[in-house]
Amino acid sequence: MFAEQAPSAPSAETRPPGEAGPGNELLVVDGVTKLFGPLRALDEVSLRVNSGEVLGLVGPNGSGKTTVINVISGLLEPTSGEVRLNGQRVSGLAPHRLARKGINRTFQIPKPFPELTVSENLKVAVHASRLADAEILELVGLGGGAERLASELTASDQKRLDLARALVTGPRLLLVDELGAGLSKSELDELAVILRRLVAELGITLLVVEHLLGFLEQVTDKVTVLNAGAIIFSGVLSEALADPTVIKVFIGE
Amino acid sequence: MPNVAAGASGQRATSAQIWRRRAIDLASVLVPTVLFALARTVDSNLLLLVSIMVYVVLAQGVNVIYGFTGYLPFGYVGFFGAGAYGAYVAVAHLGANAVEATALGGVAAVLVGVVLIPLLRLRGAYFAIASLAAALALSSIVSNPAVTSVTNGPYGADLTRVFSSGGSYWTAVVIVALAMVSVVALRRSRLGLLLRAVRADQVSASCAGVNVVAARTGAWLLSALLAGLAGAVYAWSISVFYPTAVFDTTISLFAIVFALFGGVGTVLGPVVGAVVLYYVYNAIGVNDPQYFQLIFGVVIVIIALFLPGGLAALALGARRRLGARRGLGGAQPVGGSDVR
Repeated sequence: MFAEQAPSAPSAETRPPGEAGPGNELLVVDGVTKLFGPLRALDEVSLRVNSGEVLGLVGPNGSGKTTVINVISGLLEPTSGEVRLNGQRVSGLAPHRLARKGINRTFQIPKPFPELTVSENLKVAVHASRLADAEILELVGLGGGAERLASELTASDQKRLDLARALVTGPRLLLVDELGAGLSKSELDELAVILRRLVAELGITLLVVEHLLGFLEQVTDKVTVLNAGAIIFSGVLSEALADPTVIKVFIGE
Repeated sequence: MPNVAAGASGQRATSAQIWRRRAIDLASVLVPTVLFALARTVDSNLLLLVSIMVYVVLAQGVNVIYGFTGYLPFGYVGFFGAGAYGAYVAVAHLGANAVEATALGGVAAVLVGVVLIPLLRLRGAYFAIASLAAALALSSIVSNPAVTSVTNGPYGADLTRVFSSGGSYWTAVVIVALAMVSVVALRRSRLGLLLRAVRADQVSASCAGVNVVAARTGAWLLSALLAGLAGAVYAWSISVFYPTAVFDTTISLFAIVFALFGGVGTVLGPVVGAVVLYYVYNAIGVNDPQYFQLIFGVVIVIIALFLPGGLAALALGARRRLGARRGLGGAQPVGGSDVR
């Protein structure tokens, strides 16, 4: 139905130099609609994330944030519209192919392999990171716990393991789904530091779905607000909090 | 000195652990193989011994597909029948000797497995039913009078030309060894690790870059090969058989019950399960089938209700309790300094 890659699509080179956007765009979500039966979970959602930047995706429960991540990571196929990574269409590819192309994710409820040890959990993943497994465990704060069973880890450490497993695949784009949920203030601060290091030291681009705005603002000030499957705001976090539409959605009448 | 040990050293098994693991693996392969090789000096009923070995191999095949992927193959007998008829065709039409025919029986089952790869898209009960339907379909095709020139259709296959009770017995011993090696190797291999991951969480595994269908296909074809070899050597040992005998759904059921009774996901569980229950079957099932069915039914219910891990779980549980009493087992994993 869709051409693999339209030859007429304007590439970075054909654009006038200096124009913001396309040349540096890592991820483009282009008019994605996702229907679940009669439910319109996503309605013509378009997002652009530049290489090396962090975009926060916020919105009330059921607004479609996780659906966006599921579509980008290949767990769901969009009903219409498409997802492009570096200009190449990637929607419709299976998650394991996307992992090899540099898109990976974490889960809101972490999904490690419980019967496997921490190090075995990482061994399962395809390896494309320039960091060794031990370095990645160190980075996420699981150093020294490699031989523990994943099922023995605390909820917070399971999130770290989820993150570590995604990092092993050497992602260019990492989708982080509600990393902060259920964590203490000190754990949140630690994870915020880790996310900032991923961007600064590994050059990973992040799309962060988050409820906790206090956590999000430690990682980025750039947000897109989703409500009922549609984007209602894109811009700076502090402006979003002053925007009447956003306030209405979050706080009610 | 404690500072030195904290980091990476905890991640590598010591050489003593590696050697211990290798010794266990070797023993897991050798002990059953040697016992079956010696069994003929205790019990001269070679046909019975071959039947037990056939069920050991089938139970291991179920172990591979169910234990590593969670797929319950009610149509597993399809591979068994394909192996039996593959051996017949090899002898009758290709002039193969019995050992070559046994190998070709394994190949025939793998080919059937390749044709049925699309079944791996199904899940749970749908897979179980579809695999059963596939086995019934294969049975109908093989026994159709229209293919009499190939399979001798409903009139039965005759392998008496290559009959050798000793030959089929020793070949069965070799196939048992092969089944044991397969399971041990699968447990230790990367594919085994990937399959454990897929079984635990398919979505996670896929996001980690694992091609779920490809990994399952590996286990599927390996279990097909084992069943095909078992069917072929069984055909060789009984030498005259009808389609209904080698496509009997009871064979699937026995293999599954034996594997579950012993414990899937373990190396020795299915062996113990097959030997114990087949002897029970042989002692009472042949003469008093109604009592046997009663006992079998009760066994299935007990496993399902109280012992989902089979005999192996019972044994492991006992060891853990003993260890805990001595203050050894049940403790934190060795060398795992507290996380953070």
